[in-house]
Amino acid sequence: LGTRAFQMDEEEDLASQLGPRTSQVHDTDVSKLKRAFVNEKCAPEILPFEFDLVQRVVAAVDSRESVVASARASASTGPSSAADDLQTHVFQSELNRVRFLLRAYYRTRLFKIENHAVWTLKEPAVLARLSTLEKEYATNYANVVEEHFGSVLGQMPEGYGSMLQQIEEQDAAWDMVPEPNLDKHVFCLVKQDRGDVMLDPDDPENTMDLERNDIIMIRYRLIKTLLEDNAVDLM
Amino acid sequence: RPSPRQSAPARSRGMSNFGVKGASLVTDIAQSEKGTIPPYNDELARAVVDESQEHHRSILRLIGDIQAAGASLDEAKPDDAAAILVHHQAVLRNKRALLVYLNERMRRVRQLRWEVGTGLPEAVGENLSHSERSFFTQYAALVNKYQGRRGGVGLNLTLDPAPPRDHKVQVRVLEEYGEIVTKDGVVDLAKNTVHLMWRDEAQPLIAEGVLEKLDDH
Repeated sequence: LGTRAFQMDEEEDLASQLGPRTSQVHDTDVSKLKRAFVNEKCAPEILPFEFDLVQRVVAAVDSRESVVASARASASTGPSSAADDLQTHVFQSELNRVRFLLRAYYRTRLFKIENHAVWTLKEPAVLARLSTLEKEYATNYANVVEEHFGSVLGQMPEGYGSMLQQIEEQDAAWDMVPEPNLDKHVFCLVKQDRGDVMLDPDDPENTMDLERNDIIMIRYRLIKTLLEDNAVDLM
Repeated sequence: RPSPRQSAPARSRGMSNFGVKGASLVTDIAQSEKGTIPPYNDELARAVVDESQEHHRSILRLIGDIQAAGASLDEAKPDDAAAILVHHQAVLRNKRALLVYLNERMRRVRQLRWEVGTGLPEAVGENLSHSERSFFTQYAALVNKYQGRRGGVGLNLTLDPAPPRDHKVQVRVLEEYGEIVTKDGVVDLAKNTVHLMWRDEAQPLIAEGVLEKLDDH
């Protein structure tokens, strides 16, 4: 938890240096990407890939990069004002920070895929959350792992060589597939007034009054749907 | 039919320490220093596999004895059924120990790609099994493909492990590296010289150990 708190301070630094805290009205793509990354980092399972958002950010980064490159090129050949230099410097800093967000977003997802590769591939609802490239990665990764484990498991007695089942049995469940722990506790920031909400179907009497800007700590499984509805952000 | 005396030789064969080798294999990797990969314990891994084969032969022999006596497996005596079950569970336990060992080592091998790059340092490579070296090569290729411009996301994902502060860093050259071409022009990385370099150009060299990042005071 100590490590995560440190990283969160870095995030705050980043946000405050990017400008005044944006209100809902001016919700930029960068702040959306930051939220997507933080959600991904905190959630125990992989979340839906933000395809449109990432595409827009990548396009914006590419165009900003060419602006910076040409500004630097002209600065080295001719005169440039201090204001131009400062602007280039600021643009460059912002580029670095946005690229960090992109890299971290991709990385966090890849590691989740690696840790639960077979689970991700066999659960259609989970597989649907991956980008096309990630689906390819998951399949290839699972195959590489199977080949590696197979080098040892292949020597085991007949019927014990599978990495999916303890003992090979037709029509039996795959009992060796790890899945993410959805009962992990997470911190949530409530973004919408939801009033009295029944969160735990096993405990229907116990409702929680959720108001905008509330911060709660709760099992991920119970707020999974709220996260999907974009009613909460993880922190 | 098997007399008590006939079962005595089985005990003296040392089959009473089920799972000890497997536990030893797990301890091998559990007690190793995090972030390092100790030499692959091929001898012990083979021993665990061989032990599993022996258990399996016992199972087959027990089943054979039951069927030879004219009974079906469902009608087997509790003692015989228990014996088969114990051997079966012993194999499962060994399998689990093997996979814990392989899996933890594999996790550390993956880490190498992110920390060191596609070049496997010789010192580390010596400690890996043949299959692990092969895994590293294939895994590194997977990551490369995902990062690449063609058929990938087009972004080097090993950069920026932490949020960036400055876009230029002060670095000192630890190993003589010669001249390199950077965005600012040609830089001569002579040993012990200090340079102000672009962070993303310096980072891979810092990871390789060629450069040392100098902290701002």
